[in-house]
This record gives sequence, structure tokens and C-alpha cells, in this order.
Amino acid sequence: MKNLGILTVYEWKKLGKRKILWAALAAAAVVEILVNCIFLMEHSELILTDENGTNIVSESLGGFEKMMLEQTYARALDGRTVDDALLGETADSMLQEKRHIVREYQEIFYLVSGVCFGDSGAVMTEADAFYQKWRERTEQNLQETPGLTEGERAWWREKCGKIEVPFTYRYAFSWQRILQCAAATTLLVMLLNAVCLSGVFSDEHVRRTDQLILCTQNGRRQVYTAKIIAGGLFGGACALILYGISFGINFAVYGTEGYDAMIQQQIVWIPYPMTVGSAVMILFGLTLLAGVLEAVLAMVLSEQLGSSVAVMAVLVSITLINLLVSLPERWRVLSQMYELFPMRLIADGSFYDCRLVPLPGGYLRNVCFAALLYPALTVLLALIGRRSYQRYQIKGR
Amino acid sequence: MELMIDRVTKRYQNKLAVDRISLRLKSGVCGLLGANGAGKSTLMRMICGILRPTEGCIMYDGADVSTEEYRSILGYLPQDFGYYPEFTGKEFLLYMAALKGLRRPYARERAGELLELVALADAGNKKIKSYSGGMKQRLGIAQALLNDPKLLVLDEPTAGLDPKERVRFRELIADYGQNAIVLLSTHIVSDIEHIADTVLMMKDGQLCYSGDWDEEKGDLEEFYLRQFGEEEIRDEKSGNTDGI
Repeated sequence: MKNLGILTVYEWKKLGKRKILWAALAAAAVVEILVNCIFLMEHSELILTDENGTNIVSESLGGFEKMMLEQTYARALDGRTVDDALLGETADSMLQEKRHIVREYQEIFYLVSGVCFGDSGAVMTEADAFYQKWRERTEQNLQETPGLTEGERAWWREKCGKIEVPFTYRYAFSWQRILQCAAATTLLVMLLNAVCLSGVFSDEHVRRTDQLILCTQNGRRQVYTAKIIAGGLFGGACALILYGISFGINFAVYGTEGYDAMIQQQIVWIPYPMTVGSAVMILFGLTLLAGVLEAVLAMVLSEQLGSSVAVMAVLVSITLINLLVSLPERWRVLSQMYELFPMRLIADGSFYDCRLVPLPGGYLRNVCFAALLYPALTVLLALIGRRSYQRYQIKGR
Repeated sequence: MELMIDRVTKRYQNKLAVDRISLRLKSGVCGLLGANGAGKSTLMRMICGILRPTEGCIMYDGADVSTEEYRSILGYLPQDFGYYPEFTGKEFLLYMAALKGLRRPYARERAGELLELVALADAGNKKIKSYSGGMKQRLGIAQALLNDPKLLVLDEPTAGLDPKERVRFRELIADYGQNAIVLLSTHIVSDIEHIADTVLMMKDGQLCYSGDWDEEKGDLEEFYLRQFGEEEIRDEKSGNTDGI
């Protein structure tokens, strides 16, 4: 066991001595910072037409100013129930404040317009009508999702019935921003694994250090385990570092409040009672698990393909396909399996996917199923790789 | 202490690299001679367990070549061994010591001893990428000796060493061979001439000579050339252009 620990440390050292690892980490950190600070680069202008028909800039705001104003207004609404009074104030405000980029009640307006999307007279003033509309639209989504069984619809209706009504608005900018950036963070973790771990096994063959390793007492079983542990830890560490940056920036800019804001503030159609904070933690956990899974995949491919470039090509191709290709929902099983890929799953929209995984006695949401699937796949891949590595022979030299 | 090689064969798709070689080696230095492509490195890789024989078996005192027990008594220096450029010489030895299952305090002590032995003590804390070819070869020799192996397999170990280093190496191996089995392959006959207790000669995957050797039997190089040279002269006269 102690030897395994020492070998794992040496595998970390080997990784750490690769310049490309540090360059890739630095680049990923910069991208993560940019993604989370993109608002600073925004510049907003409100252009209106005067009586002569000339366009004039009515208001101009830099990204930071806009963010501060939005924060101030949102904090003022923190804790307010979305009832007749608040809806009425929102409707009045939106009518009077047409000449401002940031409006005092815009967070409530976004919530309302999310429910009333496509309707004329978008700003509702009656809470009963608003919640009735919300229930109808939620039910409509359940009916219109292709392939959904009655059992699944019943399951969602039961969960939807547990959502606290009327809604209470909570200021949760930091948690909402982290949730929005989860997909970008996952992409960076996937790319880091591809770049940094693709040579873990193949480099030993290219460098011809495999001859020295494989003829030693610990060179088969223990070295393989050490590499898998070191690489898996690296994949997890990437997720931790990048999420750490996201948490750090957003908490510093927006504060830490709002963990228990309802997820419906982010996406009003999610028919499940959960908080924005718990959604963030679920995606964070999934990114950790996906990071470890992809790290092991990269290493197993490294052993199988014998070339770090080939491994990177495979992993980047998978990532690009996940980003660019969607499967039609009418191919229920295939598209549901496809949506379990980390790049498809780990985004705030995944909580909106109503397709469930049937299990004896009930159903699992896709995010819950993924939390079981990713570790199982990790172990399976590791075992497949171990068999291949232990049978490896030096030939053809 | 006995290495038993029983009808070991390695067959590739269109080539028979090693053809039914059987040997029993006891402690001492065994020199393995042969031209390029004779199958020496293939045989050594099978003895070190990094290449599986197509047929036959290899055992040391009853332990099969595929077991960890066998690998624990093995020290191997490949012909073209790789290294980690960013590791220092000492780090590399400590890593190899961990691979060989040596405890850390002993590994540090042993690494220091071996760096002294191969005259790399001053360069131990420098990165291997700054080493000359001879220094890298000496480091390779040091890592092979880390676990005080009972079976030491050296494939062209003197490549890159200057004459003085080569003499030192010969003395080291001769001394080591008193308590271990040393199998040493080389093109340079003088490397083994004065130290080998047993000489093996390979050609086209087969053992064409296997026997004890001492200086009373004459010049080893002449003997080697007689084994291979006369056949080549005959080949040339008959118009056969295979061989050297």
C-alpha cells in the first residue's frame, strides 16, 4: 500500500514535469476567469428615436455599472413573494421605465415573461392567473415531450405538486451565474484531460521507459493502479480548480446569498422542487465524476492506441460531436443515452429533461442516474485497461 | 540459484526470432554473442518477462518469468533504454527503487552508493537531459543493480562508454558474477573475453555455440569469427549474399 502511494506520487511528478500540463491549466484558468467575468466586457446602450426621427443614445452603461445596478435592484426584491402586489408593481415599473437599460423589477419580469412567453400582454398582474398559466404550461411540456410514458408524467406531476407556491424571489445571482457557467467549466475539464493525460501510457512506450518498468516487481499491477489513481485525481482536481475559480469570482462579485432560491428562478419550467444551490452542487459533483471518468478513459485509450495525438483526436472529436450534434427526441432510448454524455448533461438545461430512467419500483432523474453511471463506467474502463496493460509485450523494436 | 530456459521460441508472423533455445545458467557471467538480428535482444526480453515466448518456459528457482517473485530478483538494462529528461539522476534511481519494491530509507542509501560506484555522485542532482551518452548508460547500469539482483541481464551495456569506463564496468560485472547470474550481450568480444565463465553464440535465432570459456581455449574473438566468419566466406564464394 505504501509502495502504491509512493508510485502514485511519482506518477504525479511525471505529470507535473510536463510543460504542456501547466500551459493547459493556465489557459483553462484564464478561460474560466473570462467566462465568469464576461459581464465586465459588456457595454449597453439604449437607443431611442426623437420627434425628428433621429436615433439618440438615451443611456449608456458599462458592464460593471450594469451589474451593480442589477444587483442593487435584485437585492431590494429579495424575500418578496410573487403575489398580486409584486406583479402589479412589476407591470407598472416596466411601463414607466422604458427609457432605462436596467429596470427595478426586471428579475420578476423575466420570471413572468418566462411563463407567458408568446402571449400578448405579457405582464400579468394577477397571481392566480400567473400560477394557473405556469401549471398549464408545465403540463403542456409534459404532454408534448415525445415518448414520455404516463408513469413518468405522473411522477413529474407529483414532484411539481411539491413546489412551493406562491414563489418567493431570492437574490441568488452568484449561484445562478455558476449554474450558467457549468457547461463551459465541464468543457474545460474535458479538454484538460484530453491534453494532459493522453500520453500517460503512450509516452512510456514512445520513450522506451516501458522496458524498465515492466520488468520490475511492481511494474505491472501497481504501476497501472498508480497511474489510474494519479490521472483520476488529476481529472477531479481540474474540476475542483475550475469550479473554485467560478465560485471565487461569483461570490466575490455577487455575494454568497441565495443558495435556497428556487430553481424556477433560473428556468421556470423545471417541474421539480429544488434550489439553485443544490442544482449547482449536483452539477459540481457530476463534473467531478465526469472529470475522473474522462481521465480514466484518456489513460485507457493512451494504452490502447499508443499515441497521445490519437487519444486527443478521439476525445476532442467526442466533445465536438456532443457540442454540435443533437439526436431527435423521438429516438427515445438513443437520445436519452446520448444526453448522458457529460458535455450534454452538465448544464442547467439538464434539470429540464423530463425523460426518466425506469428502475424497479420507480424512476431516476437523468442527473441521479449519471451519478451512478459515471463511477461504474470508470471502474469498468479501469478494469479493461488493466487487463490490456498487464498483457502488454515489448515487441517490434 | 539456477535460471532454466526450456525450448523457448519466439515466432512472429513471418519470422522465427528465437528457435527452441534451452539453457541452464548458474551463478557467473554468461556472455551472449551474435550479429545484429540474431535474436539476442528478443531472448533477453523473454528472460526479463517483457516479451511472452510463443513456446517454452523460463523459470528461476521454480518461479515462472511471469510472476512478481521472479521480477523481484531481476535487474535489466535494455539496449535502448529510455529515461525521464526532467528527472535528476537520483530521482530516477529512487523511482526505479520504488518500482522494485525497495523501502525508501534503503533506497536512498542504495541510490547514493550506486551513484558513487558508477561515478555519477556529482551529477546525481542534475537533470538527466544534461547527461552525456556515457553518463546515461552508467545511470542505466546503476538502476539495474538497485535491488541487488540475483539475475542481471545486460543488453549491450558498454555502448557509449569510453575505454576507461569499459574496464571499470568489466571489473564490476566480474565481481558481481560471483554471487549472481549475469547474462551480458554484446558485439564487443573484449567486453566478455576476460570475465565470461560461459559463452553463448546466437545466429538466426538459434544457439550455435554454448560452453564454458577460459583463456586457455585461446582468443575468443578468433573463435567467434571462426564460428561465423568461415560460414560467411563460404557464402561469398558460393554467391550467397545473405549475412553480414
